[in-house]
Amino acid sequence: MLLSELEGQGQHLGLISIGYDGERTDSLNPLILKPPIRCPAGTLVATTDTLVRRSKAASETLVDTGLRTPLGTVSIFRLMSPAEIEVAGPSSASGAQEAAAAMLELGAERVIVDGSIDRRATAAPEMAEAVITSTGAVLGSSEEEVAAITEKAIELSTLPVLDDRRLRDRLNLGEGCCLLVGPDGAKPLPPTLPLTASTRDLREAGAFEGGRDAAFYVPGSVPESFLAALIPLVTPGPLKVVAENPTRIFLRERSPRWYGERGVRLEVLNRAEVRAISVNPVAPLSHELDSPALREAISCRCPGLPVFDVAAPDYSAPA
Amino acid sequence: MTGIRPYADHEDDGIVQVSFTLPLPRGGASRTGALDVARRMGLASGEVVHQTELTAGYTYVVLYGRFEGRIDPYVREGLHRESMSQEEIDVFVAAELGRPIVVVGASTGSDTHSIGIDAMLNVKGFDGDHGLEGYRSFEVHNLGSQIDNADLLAQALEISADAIVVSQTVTQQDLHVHNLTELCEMVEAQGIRSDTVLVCGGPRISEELAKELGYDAGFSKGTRPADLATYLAREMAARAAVQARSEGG
Repeated sequence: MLLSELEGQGQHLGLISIGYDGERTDSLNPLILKPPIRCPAGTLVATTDTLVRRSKAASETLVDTGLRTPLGTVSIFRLMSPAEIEVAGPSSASGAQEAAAAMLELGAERVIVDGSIDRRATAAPEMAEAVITSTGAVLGSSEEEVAAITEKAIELSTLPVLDDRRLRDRLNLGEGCCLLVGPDGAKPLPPTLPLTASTRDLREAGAFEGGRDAAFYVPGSVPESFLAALIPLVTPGPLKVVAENPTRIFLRERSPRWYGERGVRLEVLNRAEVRAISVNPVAPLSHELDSPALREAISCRCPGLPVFDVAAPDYSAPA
Repeated sequence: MTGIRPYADHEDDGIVQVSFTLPLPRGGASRTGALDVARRMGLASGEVVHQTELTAGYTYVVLYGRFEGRIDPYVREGLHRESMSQEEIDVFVAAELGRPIVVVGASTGSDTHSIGIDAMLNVKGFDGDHGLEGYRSFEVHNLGSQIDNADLLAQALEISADAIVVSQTVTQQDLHVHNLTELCEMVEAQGIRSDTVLVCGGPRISEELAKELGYDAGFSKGTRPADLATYLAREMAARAAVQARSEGG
């Protein structure tokens, strides 16, 4: 849908998938049929030579990226005529960034990066100028349940940006080092500490000494176990955990708000640019939710973000 | 006419054999039920050729049917080209890299099964084929089962691992998918994705699924340690060549 709408605007497009899209059946469950990806003539596509040949699309190879995937090495092709094509581009965020840069160099005005199951790295602000979050009935059995899970994901994506200039200065940005920042300055910590730390480890690292001004800067992964281990150390004031961006925070159980209510406040240096939410009310081979009710439930919980179901009869392209 | 189909007696006859158990006593109902399964599977000319009552009220059925479609096979640039022998791999890695490949592996999340990862990594290996510990060309750290992704990543950082190998056997509610994607995203977040070969393996892992989940390679049933060792050796050599080219300007 997005492709055809942008084609209608006469834009030269690039298309990348960090997963595998346009295949006939789902990789997890072959009983689930997947829709084809129809690309207009002139589209630049990052995929493998085998998949292009399989699609029988008329195309020219422009760049061999040298990026290897389980389905072959990724090249950038220009489609000479409209075609249905299977897209399996670079798997890593850096690979996708490399391919996107090459496409822009080759004349693409806009590059669409299709995500994959639970994959968020390409939504990082240094990668994507705008993000569409996709959600749907596969996450729950009621409209309200899906909306609640979606709200948690949006809350994470739109965490507050650290605006304390004094603290930003103390973070000594650019060093890529894990830091504990208190009133007396910044103390470097082992990069693996957030991954493995218990409350005791963090107490020994001095987490409780910073008082109200204490903050952890974690440039890498922020696992949920780290946030949970910090909770007993929040007295007398809240502890701040500053991540590079939301894609580096991994919460399975609780929401950022839940940790905030317990004194562990999550902030980011750069937020993801979430512009819209797309919904699929159908859980394949399982159940179907009411599309208007689902959109309404999500809109109530995620105000300010347009919610679309591109397959709904009442869908119309945004202006 | 393009494409191929399975065959049993003569080429292109499309005959397949399917076996399953129905919760019915052996008899007419189990036969009719089995034929109904065949029909709904899209098999023509279903024929029940064997029925055994496993226990009261449960019947094991074998049936033949004809698959009338065709599949369009395609040959990919294979990850899984013919594997080298252990000795060939040791020589290849010494020549191409000049040092052992550092591998950390585990069964992650709630997966209690360590059979797969042990078969690939432990020296005793699998079916007479040594695991990677038995090679001179690998330095192996097998963390075992029920390992958190964060702990696996921390270990990979501590030892500067070249490759992370994850085995996922438990498949209820597609739990393995969430474990696998989370690890991939954590490796990305840590900023070491480009420097790390990420490999997953397990009964439901295919190359397509590995691609979907963000891994460099996926291995399923029937994989031998030499297959994994060959892939890692070739992938590391390819990366070293790219790096050498970029350093050479």
